Amino acid sequence: MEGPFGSDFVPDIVKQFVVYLYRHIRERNIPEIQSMYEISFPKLSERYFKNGPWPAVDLVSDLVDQDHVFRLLYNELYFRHLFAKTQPSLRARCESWDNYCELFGVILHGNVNMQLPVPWLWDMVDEFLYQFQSFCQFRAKLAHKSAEEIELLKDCDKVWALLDVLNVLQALVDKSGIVASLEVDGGAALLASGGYPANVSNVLPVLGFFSLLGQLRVHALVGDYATGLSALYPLNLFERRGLFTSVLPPAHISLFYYASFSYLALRRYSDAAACLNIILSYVARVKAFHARNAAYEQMLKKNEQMYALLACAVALCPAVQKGLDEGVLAQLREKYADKLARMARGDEGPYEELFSYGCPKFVSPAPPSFDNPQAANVQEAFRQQLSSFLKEVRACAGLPLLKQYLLLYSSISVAKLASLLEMDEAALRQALMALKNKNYVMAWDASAGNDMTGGSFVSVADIDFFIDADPATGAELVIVKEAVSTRGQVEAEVLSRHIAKLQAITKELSAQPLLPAAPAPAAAPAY
Amino acid sequence: MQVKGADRYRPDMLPALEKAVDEQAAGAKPFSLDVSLAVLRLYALQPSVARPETVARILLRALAQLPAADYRTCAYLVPERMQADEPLSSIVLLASHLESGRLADFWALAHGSRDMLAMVPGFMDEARRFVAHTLAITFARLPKRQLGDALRLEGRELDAYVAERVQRDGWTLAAGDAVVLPRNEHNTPSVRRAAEVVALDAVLPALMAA
Repeated sequence: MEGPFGSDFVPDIVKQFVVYLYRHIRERNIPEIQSMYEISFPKLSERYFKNGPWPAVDLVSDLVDQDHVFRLLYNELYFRHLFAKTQPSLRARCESWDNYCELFGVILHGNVNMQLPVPWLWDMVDEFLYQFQSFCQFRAKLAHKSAEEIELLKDCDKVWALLDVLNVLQALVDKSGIVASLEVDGGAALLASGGYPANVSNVLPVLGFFSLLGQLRVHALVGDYATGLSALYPLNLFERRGLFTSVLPPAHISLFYYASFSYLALRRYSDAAACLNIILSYVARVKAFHARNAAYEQMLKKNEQMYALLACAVALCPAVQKGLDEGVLAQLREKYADKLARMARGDEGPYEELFSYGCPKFVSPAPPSFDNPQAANVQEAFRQQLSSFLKEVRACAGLPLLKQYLLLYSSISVAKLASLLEMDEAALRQALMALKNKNYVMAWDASAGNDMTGGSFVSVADIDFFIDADPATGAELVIVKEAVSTRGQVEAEVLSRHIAKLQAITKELSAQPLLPAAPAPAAAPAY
Repeated sequence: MQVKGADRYRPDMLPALEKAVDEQAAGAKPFSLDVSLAVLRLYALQPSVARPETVARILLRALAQLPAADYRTCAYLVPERMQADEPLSSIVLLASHLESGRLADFWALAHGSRDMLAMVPGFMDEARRFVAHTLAITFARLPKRQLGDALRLEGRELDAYVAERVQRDGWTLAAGDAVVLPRNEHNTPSVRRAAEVVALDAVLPALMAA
C-alpha cells in the first residue's frame, strides 16, 4: 500500500514532525511530546495519510541519527495508524508484533531514561492488546483464505500468541515493581506526580501499572474472569482514593468495563452493578470535557455498552438498583425501560441482544484447526460465552413469576402457593431453593481488602422469604420477609431526596436576602 | 502447590500442574483454583493435549466448592465441544441440577455416575454439605422425611447424619419428627421494611412547612 506521493516521498512537514518529535523526546519535553502526539500526529495523518500508511521508518531514520529507540516508537505510531486506516496484511501484523516485542524488550532490559506522555503509554498497552485481539480474529477467519495464505499463517504460530502476550504484560508488571510500590501507598505517589515521578523515567512504572489492567482484559477476553480480577491486585475498585486511572478516562473506563463484565460473568451482580455505577457516573461527569477528543466516540460507545450490561445485571438481580445513583438509574430507565420489563417477564430476546452488544470481543485461545478451514468459526468464543449466559438466564426464567406471587402475601402455605402456581409441592420447594441460591451471591467487602475476587456471601434478594413448619399441625408455610418491591423503594428514596432538596431551595429563596456590602451610612440618623 | 505470576503461563509446568490436580482430586491436597485455572488455560491453548479425565477431576472438585463460584469460573475455560462429551456432559448436568435445587434429579444422576464420581472421593459428602447449606438458608424447620429426600439419606444413615449435625452444627429435633435448622439471617423473619419506605425524617420539614 502506498501513500499518495509514491512510496519514497516524505513531505517536508512530516520530516519536520519527525525531527521535532525526536528532539523533544531526547530533551524529555513532556508538554511538547504530548502536543505532537495528541494533536500534530492525528492532524498530519488526516492531511497526508488518510487512506494509507505513514512513510516507512527507513525513510526517516537519517533524520534521527538512526536512533534505535526512536525507530521503535515511530513504528509504534506507524502500525497503529496502519491498523486504524487499512486492513493490515499478515506481514504487517507480524512486523508490528516484532516491533512491540523489541520496544518492550528495550524498556525491560535496556536502560531507558526517556519520559513519555502518560496517554501514549496507555495507548501503547491498549493498542498492543487491540492488535492481539485483531490477530486472533483474523486468524480464525480461515474460510476466506487461500491455501497459500493458510500455509503462511501456520508458520506464524509465534506471533501474537496468548501466552507471549501475557508474558510481556507479566514482565512489565514484575520489572516495574509496581505491585510493591502500590502496596506501600496505594498509588498516592504515582497519582500525585501525575505519572511523571521525579528524576526517573516514567516509562516502566506507568507501563507496569497499565499492564495490570491489560492482564484483566486479556484474561477476560478468553473467559478467565477470576484470574483477570485477581491480576488487578493491589488496585482496589471499591476504595478508589488514589486510583491513578481516574486521570485518564480511556484507562479508567477500560478498567471498570472489564471488571464489571467479569463480575457479571461470575454472577456477582452487586459487584458488577457497583462497578458500572461508578464508571457510568464518572463518564457522565467527564464526557463534556472530551467532546473534541479522538477517543470521544469510543467513550460514548463504551458508555452505551455498559448500560446494556447494567440492564442485564438489574434484570437478573433487581435488588442491585438500590445501590445505583439517581442519574444512572434514570438513564437506564430511559434507554431500556421496555427491555427491562420484557426481561422481568422472562423474555430471553433482550438478554441475548444486550449481552451481545455489551460484551467484549472474545477470542479463542487456540489457533483454529488449519486442516479444516471450513470448520473454523470466528464466533466460537463469543458463542460459548453467550450460551453460558443464556443458560443462566434460563435457569432463572421461572423465578420472576414466583416472586410476583410472593409479593402478594406475608405468609402462605406451601400447598396453596403450589396450587396457585399449578405445580406440585416438591417442584415448588425446588423453585424456592433455586431462588434462594440465585440470590445468595458473593460480594466484595472490606474484609477482602485488595483482593477483587474476595468478599462475603450476601443475600441480594428483592423479596426474601423462608419456609417454616407449624409445630402443631406440621403445615408448611412460606413466610415472606420483605414485601416492599425494589422499584417502589428506589422511587420512594428518590422522591424523598427531591423533597429534601426542594425544601432546601425554598428555604434559601425565602431567606432574607443578604444586604450587599454597601457601606453602612456613616452615621445612623438619630431618631 | 502455588502457581503465581509468570508461572501461570508456562507450558512446561503442565505435567506438574496435572499431578497437583490429581492430588487435589484424591483429597490429598486442598482445592486450588489457581492451579485448576492454570491447567485449563494451557488446555485451552492446546486442545490436543487436553485430558478429559483431568478436566473432569477439576470440574468435580470445583463443583464441590459450592456455594463458591469455582465451578462456573472453571467451566468458562472448557470448550463447549468438550463439555458435550462424556464424562463432562454428566458433570455439567450434575452442576445444573444441584444449583437449581433439582435434588431428586441430581441424586439420580449422581447414582448413575458413581463410577465417575469415584475419581473424586468425598464428592457426595461435599454435595450433601452444599444441599444442607441450601436447606439452611431456605428452611427454618422441615420434616425429617423431607430432609432425607433432599440429602438422599434414609434409615440409619439419615439418623447418623442428623445426630452428627445436632452435635456439631446446632441442629435440633422437634416434635412431629421435625428438624429445626440453626437460625441465620436468611431463615428468620427480618424487620419489615414497610415502615421505612420513606424515612419520615427526610420529609418531615417539608410536611411541617406545608
